[in-house]
Amino acid sequence: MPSKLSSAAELGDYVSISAGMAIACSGYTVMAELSGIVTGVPYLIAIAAAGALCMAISGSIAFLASSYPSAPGVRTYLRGALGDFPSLLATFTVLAIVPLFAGAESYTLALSLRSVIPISPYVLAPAAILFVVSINLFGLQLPRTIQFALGVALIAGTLLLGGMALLGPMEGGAPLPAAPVRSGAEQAARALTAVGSAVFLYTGFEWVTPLGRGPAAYRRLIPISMPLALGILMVMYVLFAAGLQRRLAPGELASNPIPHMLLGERVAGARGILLAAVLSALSTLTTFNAGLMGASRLLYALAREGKLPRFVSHISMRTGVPAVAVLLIGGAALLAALVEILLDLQVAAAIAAAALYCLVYASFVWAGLRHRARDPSGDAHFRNPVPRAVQWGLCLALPLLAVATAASDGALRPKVMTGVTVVLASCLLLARWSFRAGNQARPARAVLNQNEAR
Amino acid sequence: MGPGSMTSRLLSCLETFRDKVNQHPRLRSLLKGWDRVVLVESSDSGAAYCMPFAASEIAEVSPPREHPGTIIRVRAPEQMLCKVFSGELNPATAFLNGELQVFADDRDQVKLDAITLVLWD
Repeated sequence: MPSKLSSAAELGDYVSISAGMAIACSGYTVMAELSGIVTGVPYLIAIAAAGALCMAISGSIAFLASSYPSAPGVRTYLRGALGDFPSLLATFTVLAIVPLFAGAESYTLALSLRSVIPISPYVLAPAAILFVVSINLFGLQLPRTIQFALGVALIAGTLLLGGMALLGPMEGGAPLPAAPVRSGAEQAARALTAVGSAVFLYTGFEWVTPLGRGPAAYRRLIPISMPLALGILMVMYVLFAAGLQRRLAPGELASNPIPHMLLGERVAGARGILLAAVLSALSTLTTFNAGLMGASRLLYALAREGKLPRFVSHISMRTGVPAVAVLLIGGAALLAALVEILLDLQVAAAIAAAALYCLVYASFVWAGLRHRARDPSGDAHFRNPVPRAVQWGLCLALPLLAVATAASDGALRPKVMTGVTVVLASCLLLARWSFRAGNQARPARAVLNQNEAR
Repeated sequence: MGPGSMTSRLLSCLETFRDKVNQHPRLRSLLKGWDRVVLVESSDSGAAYCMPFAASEIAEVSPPREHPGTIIRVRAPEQMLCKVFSGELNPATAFLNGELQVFADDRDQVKLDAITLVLWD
């Protein structure tokens, strides 16, 4: 009786979700930022290397997912392997990244759409967040087939724009910029930094793990879907980045938070701008909506197990939506967006999110190693093909990458470092409070809106 | 206790659950328009039962068979399923511990959790 989908269709569904979750409008801003660190072929290598790094990380995540099918990722995986406190710390960090990301994403979208919809980004960015929050509050959800189609359209559109930029004729074109001559140590430091920043382009690929259609999906399809999605993203980003470098002068690229709009204009004029604007809207819609939805469910789950005050688990009896959790995440995203816009912190927020994600990914790899060590016979159905030595290497390298990423832009360094420190310190305090509160209180029950029920 | 008696206990728990859901006045609002088929599967004994939700109630508890509509799969050892569907165990805790598996989208997972809350909290 379960799933009537063929394996190929089911795999395609997972690949589309995994890839769609990673493609964000603010990714274009990060690509521009990256070009300020490395140029020429090293620019493309850094993007590809970050994809390969995420593929290695996906092995650990797939292993954990097959041990805990359908479980809500970070909270369950890390608690099972590392204990309650590290799990809470990582979960709150992931939750904190969502508003950071939402601020950068909504502003980038607003800037991108300005050429099509002449409304100030100061209005459009909060409006985008309010729109997504409203969708969530009313319990509206896109059917999975539509989500699949959106993911495919997004990838195809980005490949089209990148391909046109790379292969199409150009007037007075500039060759791919050559990497400036630098010392070996400086070259290595810049490459490391660039890889860490480029991890941002792939973040979110792991959000597919709770969405398996049945236990069998965790033996092969979900584990395969992540590296497949990452492979597609890698090709897409490298092609797009090569197109950016071919069509935009280094100065134009590095200083432009929406380089894809300029690329669209250079490649196909008004039609190109429209294509780039549609891609921006699609990428924000898929990533932002799923991110907000996933984060609110995670918040709700924490409240249900008594780790957060019980009012957070309030459910609307009419829609079945955890309304308070949605409002809290939405409110935090709106606040972050306003602060980022007013203080011009969008790029700093994106870099901080990339650095924090490197730390979260390190904890996933560490959890995978610990889980395997505790249960060497393994009740998991998927075996991580990444050698253990490489996994240990990732555990050490990812925190270093996080530091390198946070320090990547000299001008933004103080802001990014401050942001990362504030987020981590806040999450540490919250995790400590939540850990103690959860140990003292019985699991909270959800608060149901009795008025709605009557 | 043999596997046969556990299976009959699971069936009994699910039938009691169905009766409680259908008799609970507040659940009508929550279940309005929520037409899903919940497939309850034991990961150790292999027992499986279907509970189709339609018209704000559970139509029947029966062995798995073809049903139109969205399917939600709930999977755990049989003893745990009995505890979850009889209100002895908080399903949210079991789910977060990775002991109870629920294969559905986020929204359906929360809805299923909300049903147990209305019934037992």
